[in-house]
Amino acid sequence: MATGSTPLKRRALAPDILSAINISGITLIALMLGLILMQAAMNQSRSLTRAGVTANIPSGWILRQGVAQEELIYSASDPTSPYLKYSVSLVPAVPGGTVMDSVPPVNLNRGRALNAYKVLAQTPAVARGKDTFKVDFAYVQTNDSTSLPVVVRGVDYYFAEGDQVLLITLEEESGLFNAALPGFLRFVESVRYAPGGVK
Amino acid sequence: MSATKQVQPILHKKSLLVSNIVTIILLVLFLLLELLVDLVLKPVYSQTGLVVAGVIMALIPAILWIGFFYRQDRLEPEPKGMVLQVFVLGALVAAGIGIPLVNNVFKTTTWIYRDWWVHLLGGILVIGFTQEFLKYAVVRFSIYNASEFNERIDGIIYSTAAGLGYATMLSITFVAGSGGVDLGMGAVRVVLTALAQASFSGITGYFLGREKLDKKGAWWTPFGVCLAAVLNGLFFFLESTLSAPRLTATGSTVNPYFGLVLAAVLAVAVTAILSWLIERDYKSGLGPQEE
Repeated sequence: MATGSTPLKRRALAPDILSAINISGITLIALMLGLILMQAAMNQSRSLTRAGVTANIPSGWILRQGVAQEELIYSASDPTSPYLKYSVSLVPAVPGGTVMDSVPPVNLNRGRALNAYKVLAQTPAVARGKDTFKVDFAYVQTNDSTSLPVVVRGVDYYFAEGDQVLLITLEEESGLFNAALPGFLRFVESVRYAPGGVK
Repeated sequence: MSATKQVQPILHKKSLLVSNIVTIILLVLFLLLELLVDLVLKPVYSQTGLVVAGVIMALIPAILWIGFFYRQDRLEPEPKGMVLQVFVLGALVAAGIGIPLVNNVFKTTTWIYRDWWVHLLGGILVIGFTQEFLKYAVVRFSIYNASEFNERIDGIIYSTAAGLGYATMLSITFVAGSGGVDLGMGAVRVVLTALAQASFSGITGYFLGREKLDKKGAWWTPFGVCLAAVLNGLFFFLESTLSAPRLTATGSTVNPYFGLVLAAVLAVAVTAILSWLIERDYKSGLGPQEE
């Protein structure tokens, strides 16, 4: 019966060691589920329609609707991030012009209203399955006298919509801008425009 | 001898009741004192002063609370140095792992309040399990295998010490990060955190103590940690829901006292259950065991 080798004996782990392994495993599973929950919560949104513009706004964000005289349709701000904001506006198209012709007036108005407003780049792009014009910009936000000024970065997407131009904008503190971009691009993809809506 | 044996539990029960009442009175006095200082003196702190005030404010309820459980360990009191070491270790894992994981990796404040079910589940899965696992790990991988850990109540004492260390670091982070929170409000929050963290740790500690001394199975303590994590998450949900800022005609108001009452009820309930379990163990003759 001698086989020339000793059979390997499996030693059972002590219950307290097994218990520690079980707790570590359970905690790991709980944290993984927490991560999935976090992703689900951050991707949660609600649909909003105003002036013919429908979009999926992240749930829990603070909504501001534009008044009759404003080009702004609505903006949504993250209550947990003081500078993160999505805006949707309808600006009049320049008769006989292209989408690009709507960019200078918007930049001019912002240059008057915002501190150190600067256009960083203007490039053609594709979004919502359409050709668009993309403008990257930055400005300085000065708050109260006790805190330092903050550089805010932004990006505009201009879409031709008949005699109107649909302008979708992201603004966020420069250090957090890149992290905010994927969520904003999902928001841009969710925007639908049907002319004739009431503000 | 038999007369002594009969008298001892009655005397102990009385002293336990007195120490319990004294602890609660001292906590209330601490709160009142802080509120009085805040109302009368209206102190203005520098950043360093704020951290020092935060440390003192966080330590007082911790010392009172651990003193309560320490007095129950009458058969073989634990070395104070070891209890202190576990307390410090609890604070260190909170500062080094727990708080950064919850605040920087999971960034809970950015998503957890979006819906009630997210709030509740996030509280249990992320906050509850992170905190309870770390406090468990502090005891399990430090004092658990030492010869001093030789009574069922030792699990509660060391786990409470770890929980209070964790709570102290949470309170210091809160006070220092608030940039000048008023002392009265801060004191309420500090007491609340200490009571809650000590209670949840006490549950895990009871399971740990019995696991070691009664050679319980491999799912005994995991059940205890899960129970503590679920209660922790539930407490976080109820406390933040009840204490959430409410809009009024003149602005927003925050009422932290709802949370304090909730924490007090929880702490008293858990303490009563644990005290009863400890008494039951003593009555059944489960004293210290030789390693």
